[in-house]
Amino acid sequence: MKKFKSEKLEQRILCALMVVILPLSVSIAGERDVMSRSPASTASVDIVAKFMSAAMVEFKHERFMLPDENSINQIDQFQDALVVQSFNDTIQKASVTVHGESGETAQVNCELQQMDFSSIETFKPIRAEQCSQVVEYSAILSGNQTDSDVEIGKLGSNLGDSLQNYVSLEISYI
Amino acid sequence: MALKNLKLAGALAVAAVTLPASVYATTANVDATARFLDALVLNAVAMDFGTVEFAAAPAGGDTATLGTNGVINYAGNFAGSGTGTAGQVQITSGADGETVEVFCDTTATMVEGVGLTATIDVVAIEVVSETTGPQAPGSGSACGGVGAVTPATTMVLDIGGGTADTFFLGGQIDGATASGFVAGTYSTANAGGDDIQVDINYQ
Repeated sequence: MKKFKSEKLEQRILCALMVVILPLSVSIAGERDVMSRSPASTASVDIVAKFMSAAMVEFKHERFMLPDENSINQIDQFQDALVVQSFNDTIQKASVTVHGESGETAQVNCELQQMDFSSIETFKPIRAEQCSQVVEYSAILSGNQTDSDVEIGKLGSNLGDSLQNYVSLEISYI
Repeated sequence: MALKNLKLAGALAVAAVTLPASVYATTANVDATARFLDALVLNAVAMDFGTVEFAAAPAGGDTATLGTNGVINYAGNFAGSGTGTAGQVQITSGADGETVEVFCDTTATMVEGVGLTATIDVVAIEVVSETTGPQAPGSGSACGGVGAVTPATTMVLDIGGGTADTFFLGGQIDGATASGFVAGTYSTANAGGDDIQVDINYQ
């Protein structure tokens, strides 16, 4: 019976000590959590972008064809760039119409290109020069449409079986 | 007898709680240390995709991906000049030689500036340190959010030398996130927009 009371006494003493010690250890653990990352400096990075409908050229002609098609296309519409092939070496007439975002400036570059059979595959001409009348065509678009006639001249006189004429048109906003 | 034991127990408990220093005194010296560092001061430069041309209303698969080197790759119905401006956060004041870590948002939302209803998101936001150097689109470290456990990347500061004081940011305009889309100028700074939050702290 005495032994039992003695054990209870020890338990009470231990409990009293725990009450004093526990809050100290909890406090230290809490401090460590807060100190795990140093205070951050913050910046805000904005993002901007301007979205416009793509510029497009309408190419009206009678004597050209796309290299990968068998029929002559009377009207071709394209974005960015187009290469068309001439049937012969005579001067051709064509009409270019530019479509795009109203108020923006578009630029059309017209180039005559001469290729042999090996360069056709890579579309790297062996000779090139600007189109005869419309070398570089720039216009501030109004009403989403601007027209211009293009006269495309032949490239020199050495047009044998191994050489072919192409017309390259490129359009871009500037 | 029982009452005496109880009194004795009470006395011992009080002594253990209130008088340990005088009875069982041991001494420990606790040193205090502190690291004083200059506060990090940041200066942000906006990310600019320039003009993005669209051939049709944006949808899934239409993307413009801006690298931390300013190069833009286009896919789907998006096209453009191929160059823009990467976002930047420059540290203008801090402690050279210290390592800093960067945490940044994973996405942002741009809002069209006239109607203020059309939106499109920038996703897959990435970051590189000046030490690593600007990278091609998609080659940076992915931002994991400002609340992430691990930083997107780190850098040892060299503000004085000017060789390690800037983080570069890139991201991808995702056509699949477009809502009420119209042509126009979009910005995260417009009402309803959400910019990229960048947190930088000492390691």
